Amino acid sequence: MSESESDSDAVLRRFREAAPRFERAREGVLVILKEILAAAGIDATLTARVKDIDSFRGKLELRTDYADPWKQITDKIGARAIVHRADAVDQIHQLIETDGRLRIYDITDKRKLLGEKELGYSGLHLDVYAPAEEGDIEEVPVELQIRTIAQHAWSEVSHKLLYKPQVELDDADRRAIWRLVALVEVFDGEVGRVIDHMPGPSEPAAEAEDATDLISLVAANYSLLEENTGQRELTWRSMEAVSDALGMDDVTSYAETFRLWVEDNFGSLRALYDDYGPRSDMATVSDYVLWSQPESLALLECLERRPSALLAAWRRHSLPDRWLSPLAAHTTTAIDFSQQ
Amino acid sequence: MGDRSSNMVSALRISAIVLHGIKKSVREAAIEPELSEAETAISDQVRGFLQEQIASALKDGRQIVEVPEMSTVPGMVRAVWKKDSTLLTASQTLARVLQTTQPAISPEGLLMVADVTVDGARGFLLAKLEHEKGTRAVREKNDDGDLVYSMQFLDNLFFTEGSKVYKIGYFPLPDNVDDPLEGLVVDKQAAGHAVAHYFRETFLGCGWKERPELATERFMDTVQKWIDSREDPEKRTKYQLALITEMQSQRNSLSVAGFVDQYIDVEDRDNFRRTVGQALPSATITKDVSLVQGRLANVRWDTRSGTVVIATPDAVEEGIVTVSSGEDGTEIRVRDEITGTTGTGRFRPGQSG
Repeated sequence: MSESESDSDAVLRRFREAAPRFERAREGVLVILKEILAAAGIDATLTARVKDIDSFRGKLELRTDYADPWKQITDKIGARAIVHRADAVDQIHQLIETDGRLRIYDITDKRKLLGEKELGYSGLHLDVYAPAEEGDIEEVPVELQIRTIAQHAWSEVSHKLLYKPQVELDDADRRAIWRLVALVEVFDGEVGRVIDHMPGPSEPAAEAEDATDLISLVAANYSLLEENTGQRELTWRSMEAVSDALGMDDVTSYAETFRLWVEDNFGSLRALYDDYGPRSDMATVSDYVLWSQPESLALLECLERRPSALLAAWRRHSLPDRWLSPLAAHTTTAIDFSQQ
Repeated sequence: MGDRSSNMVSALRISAIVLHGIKKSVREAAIEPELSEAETAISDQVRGFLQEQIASALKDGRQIVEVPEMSTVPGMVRAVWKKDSTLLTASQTLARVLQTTQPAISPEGLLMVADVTVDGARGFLLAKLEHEKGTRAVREKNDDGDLVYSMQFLDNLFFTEGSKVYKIGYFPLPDNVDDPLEGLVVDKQAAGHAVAHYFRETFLGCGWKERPELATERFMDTVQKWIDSREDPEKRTKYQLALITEMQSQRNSLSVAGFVDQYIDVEDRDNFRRTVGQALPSATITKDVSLVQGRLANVRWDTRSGTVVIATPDAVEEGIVTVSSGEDGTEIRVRDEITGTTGTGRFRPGQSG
């Protein structure tokens, strides 16, 4: 970095000038993460932001230990994946490495920094480079945080309470906050254990596990198209019918077929969700409820490839035709809902 | 509407739309339609609903192709694509053409002309929509001030769910805009799913893409092949009977979807759609049995030993001839009175009809 670039004003100006490129990098990273997670059927909440100028300026002014602030402030672009299960953190790390589009150049594993008698924030931070663009003169770093819901909750709360500059907490209160960390580990452990053993509302455990896996699969693929998560109970009921229509013991073989179907039809699906999905005006019409649900993707695939099996299963599960019919209109297979 | 073999969902989107009023025609009198003077602005909800209705309707479409010099309509469609005309101007001319070509018995309605895309590819849509009737319930206070639901009669509804009073012509933009137009026509209103002659020929200027007798023969051959691939002889018999029944029925159209719903067991339906649907057009076929007439009189079974059993569909339907399968083979039972016995020439194995 040149002499002039070490000057705060020059760094700030550079940050401003890079903003459009950072925005494209942010979008690109988010798309890649969504694709990676969708392919693996991992349901995660993904967000990404470009650091706002005030925050960047603050860091620049307050941290006096930066020799090269432009390079050393690595969270100019930040992305975050919040997962349900603690083991998904490592799974995502592995997937990013295997995929290779986001090159990892540094890893901060907070779990490894904690001694056996220590408790604390235990998320995984990966420093990656955004995909290169023509005309780039340097690589664009992105800090990716991967954490569970509980870790995220603790991190947010503790950050606000422990590091709030206006208020100095006394030792007892500070200890109270740190005690909550123990609950985070217990929480994550119990969530994993319960998901592993979760039986369905009225089904044998094996079938329920299939439905759970299917739900994660469709939710991950749906996140490529829409941000919302839908109504969980409706998802469960619909996916029981889908699982029934698929009629197979192992959804793993279905995952790849389904992923390819989403990929092949992505352009059409994007247009359909624009017109009928949760962001559309049709979202306020009750019969179009499934268009705002993640399982709509699986239902569309079934309506295309196994419509009769789906319709029979749908009716066996006492779900109304009027929900299915607005989806069926846009598949190439003709279905006569008046037939019993 | 997409390539059936690739299992595509289809996104039909209306880019622009114009509606014109078509009046009831009067014999030998020039009637001017009630023309709109601008494109129609529609809300996203109306657009979404129309798109869904049209997409659904086109699944019952029959494939058509432009016949040169039959109508001026294809030329006007091209003019819009080539930007020689605006959608509004072309649609006004189209409304006048429809007004003069529709027969005197045709009721009044609307001509809907729309610039559309299907999966991003441009297309042109023309639809004649006729008035429908319905009622609407409104909660309001009566003369005594009590809250009640009152009913209002509506006779100006169009394109309602389950509507059958419309005709649609749809043309995707060909690779070369000057090539003859190919597309789909739908007429739910016509008896037996025929298509009103005036709409297809006089107005759209199109004939069938495939000669009906050839399309019918292809339908029969494809379904026959699927039936022959069934392992269960009882099912083979049942479906054979269904095929003959469908071919002999008074309906003047054939479709994979219709055949599935009418005759195929639920557990076989998706397999039928997949295998038969890949070989046949998704569109409805106009039935003409002239080339397959000789295969519709009887059901025939060929067995491994060279035995051939031939029965009339009625005999199978009435249970005079039954087929059942057991561990030691298939049993074909004829429960009847023998009225004659003769010798025949050698049958060619596996040749039905």
